[in-house]
Amino acid sequence: MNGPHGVRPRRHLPTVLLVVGATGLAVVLMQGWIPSKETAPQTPSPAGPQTQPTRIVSFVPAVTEMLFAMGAGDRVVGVSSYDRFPEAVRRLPAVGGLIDPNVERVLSLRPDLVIVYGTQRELRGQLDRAGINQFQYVHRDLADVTHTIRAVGALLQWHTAADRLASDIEHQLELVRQRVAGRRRPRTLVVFGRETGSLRRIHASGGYGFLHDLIQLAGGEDVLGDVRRESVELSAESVLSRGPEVIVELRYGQPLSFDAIEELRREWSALPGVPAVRNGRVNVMVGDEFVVPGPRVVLAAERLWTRLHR
Amino acid sequence: MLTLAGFGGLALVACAVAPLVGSTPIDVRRVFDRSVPFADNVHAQIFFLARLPRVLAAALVGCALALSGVVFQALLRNPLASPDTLGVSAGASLGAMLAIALNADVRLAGVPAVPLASFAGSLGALAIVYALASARRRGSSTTVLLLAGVAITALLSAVVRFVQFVADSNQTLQSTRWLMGSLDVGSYPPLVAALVPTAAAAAAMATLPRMLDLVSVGTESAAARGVNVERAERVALISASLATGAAVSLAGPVAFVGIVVPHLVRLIVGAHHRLVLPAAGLFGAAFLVLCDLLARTLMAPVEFPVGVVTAVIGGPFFLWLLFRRR
Amino acid sequence: MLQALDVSFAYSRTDGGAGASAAAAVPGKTGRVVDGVSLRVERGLIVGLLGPNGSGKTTLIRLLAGLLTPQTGEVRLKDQPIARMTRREIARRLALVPQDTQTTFDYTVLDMVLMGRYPHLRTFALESPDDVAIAREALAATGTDTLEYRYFSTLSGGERQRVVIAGALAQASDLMLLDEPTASLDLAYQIEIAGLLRRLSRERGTTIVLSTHDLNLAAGTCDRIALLKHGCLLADGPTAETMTPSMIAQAYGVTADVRFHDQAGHLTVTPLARCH
Repeated sequence: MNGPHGVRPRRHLPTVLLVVGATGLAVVLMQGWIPSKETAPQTPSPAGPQTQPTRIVSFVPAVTEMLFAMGAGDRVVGVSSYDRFPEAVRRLPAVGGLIDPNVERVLSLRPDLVIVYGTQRELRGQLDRAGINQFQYVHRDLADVTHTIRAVGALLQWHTAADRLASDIEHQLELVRQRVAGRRRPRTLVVFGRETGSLRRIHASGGYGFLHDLIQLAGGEDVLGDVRRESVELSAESVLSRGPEVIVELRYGQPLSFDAIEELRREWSALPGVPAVRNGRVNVMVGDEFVVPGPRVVLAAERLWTRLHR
Repeated sequence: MLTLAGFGGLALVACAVAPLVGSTPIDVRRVFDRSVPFADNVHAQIFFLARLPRVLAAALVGCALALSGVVFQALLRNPLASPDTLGVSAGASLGAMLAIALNADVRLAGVPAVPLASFAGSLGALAIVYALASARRRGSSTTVLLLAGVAITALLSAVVRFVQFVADSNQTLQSTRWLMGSLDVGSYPPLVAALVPTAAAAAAMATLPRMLDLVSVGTESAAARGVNVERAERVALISASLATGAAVSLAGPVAFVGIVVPHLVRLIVGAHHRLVLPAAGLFGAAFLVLCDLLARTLMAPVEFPVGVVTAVIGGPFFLWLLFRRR
Repeated sequence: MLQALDVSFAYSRTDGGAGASAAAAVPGKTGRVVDGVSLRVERGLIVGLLGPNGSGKTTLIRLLAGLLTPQTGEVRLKDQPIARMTRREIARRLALVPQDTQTTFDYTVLDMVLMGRYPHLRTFALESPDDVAIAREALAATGTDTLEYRYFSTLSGGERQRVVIAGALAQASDLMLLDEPTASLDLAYQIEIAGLLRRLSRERGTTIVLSTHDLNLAAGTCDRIALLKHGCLLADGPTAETMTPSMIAQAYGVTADVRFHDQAGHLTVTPLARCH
């Protein structure tokens, strides 16, 4: 074990271990810190469809909503198990979700276009081998909503309707933006998850992505705007030190009773010094439009605006 | 005795300094400034509502996990044993997962559903382990108990994954995050609730050190030296499981403290349990407080799971100590 | 000193452990591993328990040590029924040396010997200077005083066994039970341990009961020998009377040559062939 000059290798062991430890920590830090910069979003497969797709399976609820909103809902033959809107999707076969796609069921529906998430690499490979066209959806910021609508419209050769929908959404959002122009922007915290019954493991929108853009658009200043992440876990200390003037807690999935909403609001009184708590500006908003970046972003923006400026 | 005082000092200093350091600079004078009403004093609020409960939780959890690690290692005569070995942590995790997935909203003395369900889960796992330990007659090896622990852990973990799988995406996020452990307890009632079983367990463990020495050398020779082995094993099993259950229900699973702190301490104070036990409790508290300090400040305002820090800091340090001696 | 009166013991089916497998190996009609054994151990003597595998030696040792309770009969320690004594009371009067001692953690030799003081200490009491003195004396008596601060795990097999015997001395210096004390030792250590036991008996009057497979060790060490087979006592008497070719043939099913060895100063046994 001794080196040629009698250097005992184990003397270096502490150094080696420290370097290994530090590297490990650095890797962990970087992975969480840097938002993924995945490019090449929303490109159809290179093969490109020659004809109009008429049998579409969508794994992405946001895109499902877009298809229905642009009037192409009758072409959708299968949706993800998380699709709830519009009402018509409830009658369509469910093909699984982001992490558990059911390829067999997809194939049995004989689709000519499948809307997939960019991260569903395995599914994409399987669809490639089956020769089925795909649309890769990448979820990023608010502007991507209308980009996606236009890209999907182009793919379906359904330009006019898609463009009308996208322009309409852009126009409505612009109206909200104009309404808040020049007004004081309250410091806003948007929370989309926490442990039931306590202020622990608070997950909030960070300074990047669709929810962040919505806060800014609806006339708030995102208290986490400097944190370039889509989602941030907040400690009690961070809530206190950042002192939001408005807290919006989002709930989705099931509807909530009035009492349940009051209870959720009351739980924030554990941090009485936060301006939003002191001034009674803790809001609980229930609705899927806050988590599905589809055509209903207009609704989401308007609802948010009511809590920030009315 | 001097070493113990050293560990005690370390724990005290850690607990005193940690609340003053954090992602937000706070002014100690303004924390204790009585002229400003509490509701307007952000410094005091950060100190008393956020940091102090968090540091105390770290100290409590670190202490409880280190203590039960010491006891399990001696009880099972296995240096690889840890608070997770017999499935108590897995039971606590399952309880928490169910509370999250079912959106349970009960409350007991200010303690919310998740820690309650988690503690109940740890008691359930303890009941299974205890039944197995009682079915095991004298003379049979602890290997059986260890293997049973592995099987229970695997079974409960599978159920945990199933519950996570059927839960909706927000619940899955919450439950995944729970499984990484967090010390930001947010209020005092859960802390007090975890303190009660931990204190009871620590009091029971205080009677054990010499028996643990003897039992770790062999149950038969321990019995021949006058130890009531069955009673000692029962007290050890129940107290260590209670402490683990309390710690996990408060903070979620925090890796590494329960297995490595006892060994670290043994490298410093020797093998005697009457030194190892208190020293591990104190050092475990100090270690977790400091690890949590790093977790909340290194990347502020973003925090990362304290279990990552315990493993990344503790692992290489432990390896170094281990190989330096050999 | 120590007395077994018509003692019988059977492991129940659900009992785990080495004893159960030994019981399974001998499908006796009664399932008794020890069957009606009466034995008297006089003060100051070395008594050897001999017998083939599964004859009940280890079980008898555990019964004599009060670790097992006989289904019939009773064990008396210094004329008191052992069943009515607490574990601590027994441990103050009688020490047991198990076959093999492994430590999970790094205890020093002195730590290991001090553990023998357990039954003499109260729960929260520290070892007094007296206890340390007793432990050091036990180390000296077993010739391990130079090892005092070594880690037990770093010792050789013979050193370990001597340290464990020192622990037994520190626990109860006048009565010691040893379960195959030389089973895992090589020849030199076997002689060393045998010499130590004889010295303890001679110089301190320690009463010793040991089980062994080594007939020559028994012949050279023991004053009396009890021969077991299928849990029953085949013979019990002075070594010279029990160590005979016919007894060995009965117990082990082996023909053997038994003769006095002038240089060794005791009987020696040379096994020749299996009986047919």
